[in-house]
Amino acid sequence: MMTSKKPAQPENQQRIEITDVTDDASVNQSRRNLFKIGAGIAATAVTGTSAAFVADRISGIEHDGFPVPLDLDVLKPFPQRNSIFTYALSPELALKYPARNHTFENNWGFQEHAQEFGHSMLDISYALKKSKEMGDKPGMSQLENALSWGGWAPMRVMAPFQHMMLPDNGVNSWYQGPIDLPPPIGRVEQVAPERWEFESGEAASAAIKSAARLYGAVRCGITRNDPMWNWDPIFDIQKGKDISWDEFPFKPKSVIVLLIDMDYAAMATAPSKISEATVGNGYSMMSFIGSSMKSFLHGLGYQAVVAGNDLANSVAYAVSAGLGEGARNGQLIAPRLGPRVRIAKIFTDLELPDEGYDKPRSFGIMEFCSKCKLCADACPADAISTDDEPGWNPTYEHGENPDYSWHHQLGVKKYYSDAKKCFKFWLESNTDCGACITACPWNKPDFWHHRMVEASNSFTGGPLHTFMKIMDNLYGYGNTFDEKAVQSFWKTGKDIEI
Amino acid sequence: MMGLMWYLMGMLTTAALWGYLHLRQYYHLDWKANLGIIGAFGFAWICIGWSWASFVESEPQSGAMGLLNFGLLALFLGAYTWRKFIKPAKKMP
Repeated sequence: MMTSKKPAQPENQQRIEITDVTDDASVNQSRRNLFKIGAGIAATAVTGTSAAFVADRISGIEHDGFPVPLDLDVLKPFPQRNSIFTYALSPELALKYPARNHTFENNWGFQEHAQEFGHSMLDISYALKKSKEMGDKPGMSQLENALSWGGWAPMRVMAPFQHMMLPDNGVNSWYQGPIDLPPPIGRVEQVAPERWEFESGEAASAAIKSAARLYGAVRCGITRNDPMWNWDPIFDIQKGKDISWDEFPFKPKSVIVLLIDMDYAAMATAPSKISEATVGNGYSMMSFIGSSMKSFLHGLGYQAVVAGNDLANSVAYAVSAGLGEGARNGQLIAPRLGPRVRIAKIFTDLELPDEGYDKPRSFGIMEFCSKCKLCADACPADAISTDDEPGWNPTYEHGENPDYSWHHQLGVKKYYSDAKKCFKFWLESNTDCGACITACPWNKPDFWHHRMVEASNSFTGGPLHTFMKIMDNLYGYGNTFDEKAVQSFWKTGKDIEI
Repeated sequence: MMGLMWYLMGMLTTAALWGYLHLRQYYHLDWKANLGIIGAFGFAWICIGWSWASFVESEPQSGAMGLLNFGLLALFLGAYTWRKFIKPAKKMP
């Protein structure tokens, strides 16, 4: 058997080798330690960067300008007479633009049907008669009609027809001068004689938003007055004539945008008189909170006018004030509320330094909209675009005919809905529908798991958005024409029992 | 109701931590076992939180889907981790 024998080595040489081995191990150990420290630093950096990216997406990416592409050669201020609500309520406009009735569904008259709709809103007996004619379906009985009647009641008193864009009316009055009170008080000024000067833009913004929260708004943003988004000329449906901004009592500098939320359980019944009730309640709160905000500004010595749907494009102003994004259904989607909000605006001559104004933000909502189409699928009137991407022009049938698609403010890259079809369904169903609000995956009540999903939707995209849309359906959300939702709504009163 | 859920989940988290420390006394838990335990725990907690919240918000279908998806996943992951990574690693007495 062969054996190998190591050659004998001098003792000192062995010692040297041992020393070398010890040094190698020590070097390897320090390299390993260095590597561990490096990996730790890298992991911390990656985690920190990812966390910052996610946090940035969830709280919204700020933009210096309007966050939606605009074609400034095409975009012009929108004349209010071209809006559906204004046209439908104005016999003068029907006479002036007869083609608008002719080109829509074989001479279907908006005015004639809108009159019935208006009658329903102002006369409970008429509303009940209409519901009976339609067979007293679930959500349309006298009980639900009464609920709707109550929801709209404060708005009917405070600012009638502000939802149909009637300006300068009730608490939305433009009048800034003194008012006469019964003796012994007599004539009093509405606007304080001295102006409160805020220390800074941030202080002004904080004060205005604190007041808005106290009065009941769920979100508040402040932006500059932008004539591009103001109805120009304004149209007075009562007098049947245009009104110039020169007649406005002051030169507005800022617009305070308020969001008022609507009830989730009520909106889940859409389209019904219960969903109509929460819409009405939202409008009433717009008048209530708006008039409080107006008086707050008056008390500070500044002029102010409240607007509901009148005076300007509410969605554009809410986007400019960083409160959300415009969506496929044409409405504002606000993070954590979805499209289940109403928008009120306060025009004021209070001007803030730059830091007092909010910046527009994007939250990944439009990216989600391009993959989702649940609102379009749920729309009973097929009025919402099913295009994959937003465009510059309406793409629905006859959209290229200006006598048919006269109600758009062109020059904005967005999804163009056929508002005439939408409004026709309102008139036919004797409700203000809201199916697209109910169906939207961003419309969720305030529970932790919805916040988690919504946060993930803000920083993910593509197939994950499609997956989330499918899951939303599978998990049973967004049902419309849901009779069970009507039953569920009438149990929600238990929640406020002690 | 949601307050009760958070309270119970807090209690259960404390109990789960105690159970984990107890488990460590009898088993060698390597990184795979730890990962499996964390995963099963996470899915179980999402299952409870999701389903409870869904039933509270009157969306029973969402509650049922939460139980099915997250609950089953937690059970499968827990059972797999126990069989493959925990049980074979019992410490000798």
